Amino acid sequence: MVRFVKQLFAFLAFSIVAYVIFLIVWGTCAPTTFRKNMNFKMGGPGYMFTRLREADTVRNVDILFLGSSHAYRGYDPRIFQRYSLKAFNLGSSAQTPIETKILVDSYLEKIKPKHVVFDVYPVLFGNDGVESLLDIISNMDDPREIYPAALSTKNAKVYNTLIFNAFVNLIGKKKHFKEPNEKGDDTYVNGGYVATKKNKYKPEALERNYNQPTLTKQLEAFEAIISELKKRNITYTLVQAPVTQKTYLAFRKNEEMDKYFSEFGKYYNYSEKLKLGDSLFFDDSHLTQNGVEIFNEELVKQLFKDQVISKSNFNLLSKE
Amino acid sequence: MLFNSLNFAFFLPIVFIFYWTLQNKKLAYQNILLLLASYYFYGCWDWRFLFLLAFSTFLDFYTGLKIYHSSDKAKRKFWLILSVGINLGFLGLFKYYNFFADSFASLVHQFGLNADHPTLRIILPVGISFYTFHGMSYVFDIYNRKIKPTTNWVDYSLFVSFFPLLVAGPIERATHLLPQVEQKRTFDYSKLTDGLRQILWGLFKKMVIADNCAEYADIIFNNSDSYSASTLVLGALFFTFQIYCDFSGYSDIALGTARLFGFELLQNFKFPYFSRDIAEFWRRWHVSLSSWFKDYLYIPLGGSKGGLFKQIRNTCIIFLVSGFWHGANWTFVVWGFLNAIYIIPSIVFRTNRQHLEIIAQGRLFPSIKELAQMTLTFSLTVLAWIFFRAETVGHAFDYLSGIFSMSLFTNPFISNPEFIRSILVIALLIPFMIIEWLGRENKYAIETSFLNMPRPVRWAFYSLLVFSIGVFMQTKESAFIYFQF
Repeated sequence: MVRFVKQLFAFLAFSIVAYVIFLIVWGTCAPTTFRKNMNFKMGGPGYMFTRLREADTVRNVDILFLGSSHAYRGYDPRIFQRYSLKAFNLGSSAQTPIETKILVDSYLEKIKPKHVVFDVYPVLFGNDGVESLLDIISNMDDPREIYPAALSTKNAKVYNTLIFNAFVNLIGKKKHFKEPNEKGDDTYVNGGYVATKKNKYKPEALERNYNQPTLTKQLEAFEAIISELKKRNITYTLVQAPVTQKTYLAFRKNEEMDKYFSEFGKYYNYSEKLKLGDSLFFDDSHLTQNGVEIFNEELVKQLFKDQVISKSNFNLLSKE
Repeated sequence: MLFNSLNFAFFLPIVFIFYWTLQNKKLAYQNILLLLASYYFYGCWDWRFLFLLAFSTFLDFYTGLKIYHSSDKAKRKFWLILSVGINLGFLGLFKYYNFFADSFASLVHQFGLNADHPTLRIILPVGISFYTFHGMSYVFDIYNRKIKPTTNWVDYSLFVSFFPLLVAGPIERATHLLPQVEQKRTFDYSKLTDGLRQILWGLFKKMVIADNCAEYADIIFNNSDSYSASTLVLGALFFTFQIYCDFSGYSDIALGTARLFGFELLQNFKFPYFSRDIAEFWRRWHVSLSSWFKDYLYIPLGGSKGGLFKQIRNTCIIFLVSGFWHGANWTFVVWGFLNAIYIIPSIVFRTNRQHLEIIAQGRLFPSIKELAQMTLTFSLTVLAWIFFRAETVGHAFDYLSGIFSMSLFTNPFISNPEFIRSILVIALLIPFMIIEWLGRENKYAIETSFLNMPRPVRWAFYSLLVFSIGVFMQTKESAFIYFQF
């Protein structure tokens, strides 16, 4: 029995070392398409690498945007600048409340926003958040804040990516990485925003399931974010950026989720309020630049109207 | 609790440690521990069905004793019929009630009549087909005076509900397993490492090969009307490997787990895709079920005695019942019937026992003739699996008619760019089949393949299997196909 236990532990130790070596070789050599459970990608379509580097330097913003691609493609800091509001966008691809919580814990203290606009897309409350977590792991310098959330996923993809990320950090690859500002039709705009040149609506080829059951852990993360904001005396507004009416209506719990969000304070659902036509979207859920202009102008007006933003608390300049 | 779950990864070592710390105590303590662990394992699915399992166990234990102690033939028959009747009654109720009710309603509807029937919301208790067959074989063997019944309730319960085989077999026989339950098991280092090796190979088959094949097989079968013929062939091939690696992977884990506790279970798969004819395939596929049907249905029906017609009739009955055992759907019945059709020529020409040894025994490569035979048998099997996987018989025929079209000669990866990732699955299948081929003379492919190599090489290979599981597994747990049967 003793021999068996000794051999077993020796094999486990050998296997762990071998696993890490295989993973590093695999992650370095295998084409991205075939890296099934190891999704390490610096940069990526959401410009998370550049955004996080900028977030490290940004301080004392008036408005901080949080949320998914609806946030970083839907809230243009340049439009808020017209109203003399300094804004920063901390959105990331498919960001669910769990990842928002990680970013809030890591950046709120540094960025010190006066007001937070939290884009809440109820569909993402049914998502496990793994893809977004991988995006953050791949692009954050020191993802220590991520470990508790990452370990709790019990997901091989997350664990493998964490191991590979440790290797990338060890060899200092992230320090030398430079993400281009332009990728295809997309351009990174200072302030965390991604502007697109796409201006024609193209529906997605595959039907998506918008009605995954809402996950308790996402609701808990959402409520923890609200508590954190309240604790820090940071005012906030919950916003649902517009999506195409087809996409909006495909989700069956709009009423229920609207009611839920309203319980936490000011909440605006712009799919309901604006009902924008498909021509203002380039896909099923992202606005063209023209669409962003319309939506952001409406949002700013609404924020002023409700006195969520006012001269006194934001020290606004002449343009208001 | 699934074998490929984190829960099982905690459950197994805990039971293992307690079990072997009891080895110097009474044998009964080890058996009680395994019985409790088995009931806990089963209860993790649905504790309510523990009562059904316990009742079924009690029924066969009691009727076994009654049959044995009755000298009167009529009484013996009464107890046998009672046991078999109740067992099949439960199986029929839980597994087939809705099927028969729906089929009857459809039939009546054909004649313009309306037959409303109460469709019950019946949950299929996991493993009912397996533990019912365990118990029935015990009662049959006592009735046929092959064995004496045990008077130890714990031993008998453990024989029926031993957790490695409880939910998907192998379907054990009392003659094989019960003596092992009654005998003292000793800690054997080589047996244990062999068990771990087989578990690892089973996990690889299930989590790397089967689950990845399933991803694409599901997409293609679920949208079969929108794909080209070559893609449909690809889908059928993916399912062919999925079902084999899923079920044989499960069996490997079950056998390996049992070996960790000192038990040897029946070998359930003997490299069936290397068969040279269908008869050989069925001697190598789900062996414990095939032999169960042979012993308790085919032979009582007369077997091969009584002329060619009777033999063909009996064979057809076996395959139809076997198909129906797999599930309450006409697709399984047609699958069984198709296999019966395949096997009839070998019965007529008396070639059904031609290939008893494994192909190319002692040789590295098969002969051209063997290769041709193997390819033909494999193709026929793939064709039959289409019925097994399809939602309905109509769906299966549509799938088949989709295959036999001009688009058979198109490249499935060009017409479906989303399948480009499935090349990875094919890339995994190639080394897998090579390892299976090289290890085909063993009980499982890697049983002895690497034993003569230096330890670092051997461990590096096992670590590569662990790595493959970590990197290629599906990130959501997937149940084994045969749990539903």
